[in-house]
Amino acid sequence: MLKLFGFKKPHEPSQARRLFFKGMATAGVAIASITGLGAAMRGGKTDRDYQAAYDRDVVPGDKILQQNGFEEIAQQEKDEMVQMFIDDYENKKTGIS
Amino acid sequence: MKIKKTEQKITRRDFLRGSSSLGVASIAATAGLMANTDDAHAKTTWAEWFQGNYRLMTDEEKKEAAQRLENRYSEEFGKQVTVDTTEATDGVLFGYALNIQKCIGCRRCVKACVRENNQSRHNSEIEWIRVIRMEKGSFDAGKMDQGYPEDHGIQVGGNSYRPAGVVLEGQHYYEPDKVPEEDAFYFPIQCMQCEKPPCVKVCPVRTTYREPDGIVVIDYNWCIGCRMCIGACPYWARRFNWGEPNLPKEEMNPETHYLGNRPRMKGVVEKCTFCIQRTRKGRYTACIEVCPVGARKFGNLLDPESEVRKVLDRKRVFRLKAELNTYPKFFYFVD
Repeated sequence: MLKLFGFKKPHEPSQARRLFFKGMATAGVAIASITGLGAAMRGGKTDRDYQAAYDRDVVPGDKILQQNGFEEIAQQEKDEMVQMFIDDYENKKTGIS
Repeated sequence: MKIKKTEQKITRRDFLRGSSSLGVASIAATAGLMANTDDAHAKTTWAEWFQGNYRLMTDEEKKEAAQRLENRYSEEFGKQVTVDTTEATDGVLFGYALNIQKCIGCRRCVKACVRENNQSRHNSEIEWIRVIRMEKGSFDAGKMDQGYPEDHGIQVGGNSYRPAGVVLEGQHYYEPDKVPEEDAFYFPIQCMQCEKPPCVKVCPVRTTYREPDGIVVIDYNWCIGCRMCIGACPYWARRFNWGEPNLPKEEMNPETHYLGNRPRMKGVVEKCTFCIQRTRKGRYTACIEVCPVGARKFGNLLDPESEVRKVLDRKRVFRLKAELNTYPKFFYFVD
């Protein structure tokens, strides 16, 4: 429709608004698609990686623990330790600790 | 035929008013559905998000939380699940002793623990007990003049001694045809339930704490998955759920405790709780019950007549990483 000097008929729909909504809709679809694709890819990857991640947590501990070895507790130390457990328990019960 | 188009103008105000009304209606409908739904999962998830730290709950709140979980688990697993909230018994402090001489490395304890405590079965396969295979040390007079052993540096006696306790990476998953193997001994390890637990000290949300009976527990609902406790534990006893645990319905143990073997979720830490669901009811742990050689002993450290106290009194007892002063209540012993 012919427009003269920037005037337009009042019932004519705004092209700017139409473009804005069209852009918004396109952007929404694009974001949803990318998010979905990303989630799918991430899901696929982590499905395989859980066990590996778990192993990375656990297996190094085996080596480290054995390097420390055991330490024998002397009889006196055992007695003191048991007494400490008993005292700790009593203190916790009475709210001292 | 000519269709006459009726001119109908929608103003921006009308459009926004309509949109906002639709939005409000959607939110109201969703809220209504969530509040009135019979779906146990939706209800529990909603309530669980807003529940407090278990340790700070009143008895009433604890019961409500357990009830919500019972409903959800029963629906999810298709069987009647109980979530126990039994408190620690007065005058009880649990201790554990393991005869390292007797252990044959059969790993029945590992499997029994997995079944009892509803651990994830695959991807990842979570195990709270690890049995590490170690080579026995030995002396071979024939190697006296053969120089130094490879990878072990200079040792007294040249190459004649094979150093004890060599563990290779991955031997946690050893698969022998027959146990015990001639040249190996076995070293089971699990949570030591330390008297002074470093994992408790580092937890930023205090979701892990020590119960009066000495068991270190985790409120899974309050855990934020920061993994600080995993880093702090010198015994590598804590496990992280990297993914949603895979627990088959038919294998789920329906007798659970809130602080123990109830099904966990992705992103939370878990560990041995001395089978809290059993021991607080006067039963042995699953690993003790299944051990074919009776290597595992358990009892009340406050009772001089208990198995564990008798072990401490009469046997040669060892502990790991004594220098850290964590005071583990899990001991190793030999006859």
